[in-house]
Order: sequence, then C-alpha cells, then structure tokens
Amino acid sequence: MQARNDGPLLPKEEQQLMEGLLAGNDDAIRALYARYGRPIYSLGYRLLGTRESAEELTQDVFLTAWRKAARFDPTRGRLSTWLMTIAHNLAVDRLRRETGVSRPTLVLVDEVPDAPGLDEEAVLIERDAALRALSSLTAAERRLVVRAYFRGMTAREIAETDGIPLGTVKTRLRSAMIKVRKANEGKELV
Amino acid sequence: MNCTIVRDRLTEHALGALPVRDAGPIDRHLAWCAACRKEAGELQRASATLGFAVAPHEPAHELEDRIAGSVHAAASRRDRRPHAPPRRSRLMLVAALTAMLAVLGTGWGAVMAVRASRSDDAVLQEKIRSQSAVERFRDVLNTMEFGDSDGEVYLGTLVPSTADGGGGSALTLVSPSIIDMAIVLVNGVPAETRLPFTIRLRGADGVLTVGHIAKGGLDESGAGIVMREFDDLSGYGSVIVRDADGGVVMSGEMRTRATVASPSP
Repeated sequence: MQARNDGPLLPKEEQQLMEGLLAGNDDAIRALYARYGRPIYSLGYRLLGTRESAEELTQDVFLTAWRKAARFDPTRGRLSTWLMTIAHNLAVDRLRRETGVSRPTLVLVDEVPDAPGLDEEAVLIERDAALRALSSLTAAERRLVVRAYFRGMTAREIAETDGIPLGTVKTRLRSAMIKVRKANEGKELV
Repeated sequence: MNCTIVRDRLTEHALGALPVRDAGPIDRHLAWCAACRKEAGELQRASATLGFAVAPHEPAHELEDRIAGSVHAAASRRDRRPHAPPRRSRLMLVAALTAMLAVLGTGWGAVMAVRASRSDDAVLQEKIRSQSAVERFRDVLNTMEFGDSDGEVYLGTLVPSTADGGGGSALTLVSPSIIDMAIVLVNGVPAETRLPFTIRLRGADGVLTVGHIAKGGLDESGAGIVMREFDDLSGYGSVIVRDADGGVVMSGEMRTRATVASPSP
C-alpha cells in the first residue's frame, strides 16, 4: 500500500488507509501513525500530563480506530477529525475518571517555538488551521474553550467556577465555536 | 429528546463538555436525525481543529512499533476467532451481575474481616455502597451489547497486602466475538494511601493497564472503580493494584469462571 505523508489526503485515500488498518496492513498502520501519531500523542500529553499516559492514549486511539474502522465514512468527515475526536473523547473520559491527576499548564503552539524539521506538511496545515481558529477568538472565549476542550470541564462546572449562569456559558461556547468554524470555512483540512 | 433540546447542547457535545449521562440521549438522537447530525458534524470538525493547537511533543521512537504490533496482534486474534452472529443477551448481563454480586459479597466480607473494629453503622454504609456499586455495574452493562454464546465471565477477589489496606473485586468479560472488558472495584481504601493506584491485569502475554484511580476517584468510603475495553483478555488471570510508589497494595486471581449462554434466537 502506497501512502503519502505529505499534503492533504483525498477521501479515497483516507478510505484506502482505513481499509488497510482494518486488515492489519503494516504499511497502512505506519502511514496513519506517521501522519497522525504525533498530533494525537501531543494532545494526550497536554491533557493527561505524562508521557506514559500519552503513549497509552495514542495506542488506545489506534486500537479504537482499528475496531471502528468499518464505521469510518470519508463522505461524512475527514479522517483527522475522526481520529482527533476519538483521541479527545478517550482523554476526557480518562481525565474525568482521574480527577486530580497532575498535568502541566496548557501551552498552545503559538507560545512555543517549534522544533525544526519535525513537521510534515499535513500537520503544518492542520496546525495552521488551529491557530487561525484560536486567533479568531477573544481572550475570554479562548479561555472558555480551553477549559472545556483541554480541561474536560463541563459547561456546568465552568458556570459554577466562574459564578455565571449556565445559559451564559453555553451561549459563549456556542459563539466561540461558530467563530472557530468560520475561521476555517472553505479551507481544506487534512 | 427533540431537535431543539439537542441543538442547544451540540456545542457542549462537540467540545466534550457534556456529562457522560447527558451525552447518551444526544448520541441516540443523532443516530436517526440527519439534520442534527449535520450540525453536529460541523461542530465536531471545528472542535477537532482545536486538538492540533497544542505544542508538539515527540513520542518515543518505539511507540510506532508498539502500536503497529498491538494492531497486528488484535487483527490476528480477530482472524482466528469464530464468527458468531451478534445477538443481544440479557441473560449474559444477568449472569454477570449475579456473579458479580457474589464476588462483591466475598470482597466486602474480606474487607470487613480485617477491619473488624468498624461500627455497625460503618458496616451498613459499606453494604449500601456495595449495592450502589452494583447499580453502577448495571448501568454500564446495560449500555453494552452482548452478542455471543461463548462468552465467559471471570471473577476474582482482591486481597490487601496489609491488614488495613482495603479490598476489592474484579470482573473480566472474555468473548470470542465481541470486545472484552475488565472492571475492577476497590473499596475500603484508607485515606492515607498514596494515590493514584495503577490497576493492571497480568497474563501469559504480558501486562495490561486497566486504569488509574486518583484521589478524586474514590468516594468517602474509599471505594473506586475502573473499567476498560480490550481486544482480548484471554489468559489474563491476575489483577495487581499498585500505589503511587509502585508498591503492591492489593492483588487477586480471577479464580471464578462462569460461562454465560445467550438465549435461543
């Protein structure tokens, strides 16, 4: 199986990769890992706080993707969205089970210099989209989204922490996510 | 649940900001409502974008081989399994819960035996908590689809390493045609115990991590639960619970085996 590590994948290529994963094809597994392994690991590290947890999460994501591979439909969404959603759901589940787990302060990519030479083109495009989305938010919206997405806090928990009505939190979250959506409208994500 | 209510919560759903109990009804609605599903898909794409915003970290080089190996192994086991048609089996659920009840009783008794100084009130509280745990098991198991006639349930009691170290119970579901599952319950864990606990299963093929229990994961009586799905738990017969220092605080063998037959189709 030939799989590119650079540039956006076509839906047909995504489908082929997932069929390869389902069949346990080594090339497909490694192509998927080359493309998505590091972003998934990085998300896991930031949410869960340790290398061991991030590695466990990454392994769980690939096994979950293998189990659910037959359900992946490239006409309904991109593979990157599907995998990151699996990763985020697994990480948040674990965060909530382990309340009190030690984890470092969230650092976003615009606050940390990149290590040169590590990024494939595809990941750069995805991170460009992420930065574009975050930069479209006000500081308050960004803080809200970060606590929901990266801390696994429910809207109710945020409302109680900030002492504001639940409805207000929901409205602000919705407004922020509309901005995130619009920031990348028409942009080709990997 | 109608579309208005669902759409009001889709943003939280996409961000993972919904409590687990609230996500289920929304998922069920999305399964049949194309309009809400479209809206959810757009929000999900926006949400997934955020995941790429974290600073990059480089995983250990060997992680790729480990992941490739685990997928190969899972695919290989699947290929060796007989293809049983999926069927719901409430009998399996009942059998699992009945057996779990028995083990909970044993585990609870073991804990009480080493904590004989407890008052009757405390004993009663412990019993109520055990019942509550069973309710939680029922909720979890009710959400699963059991679908094979050859599934087996293995049960074990966790014995503390020290007289006042608590106790627990473990249950594994091993199936030739559906995802396997491990559930480990600890109880009576003393407040001074160094958390988090790391709970692992040991078998002929190595060691699997079921999960971790941090301080916030224990209730006021020192009870906590972890559960996780696995591709194949065949042969994983020991449970080990370690504290934050790596010391074994309790352990047990999955000695009780129950075959749980499905009802006739």
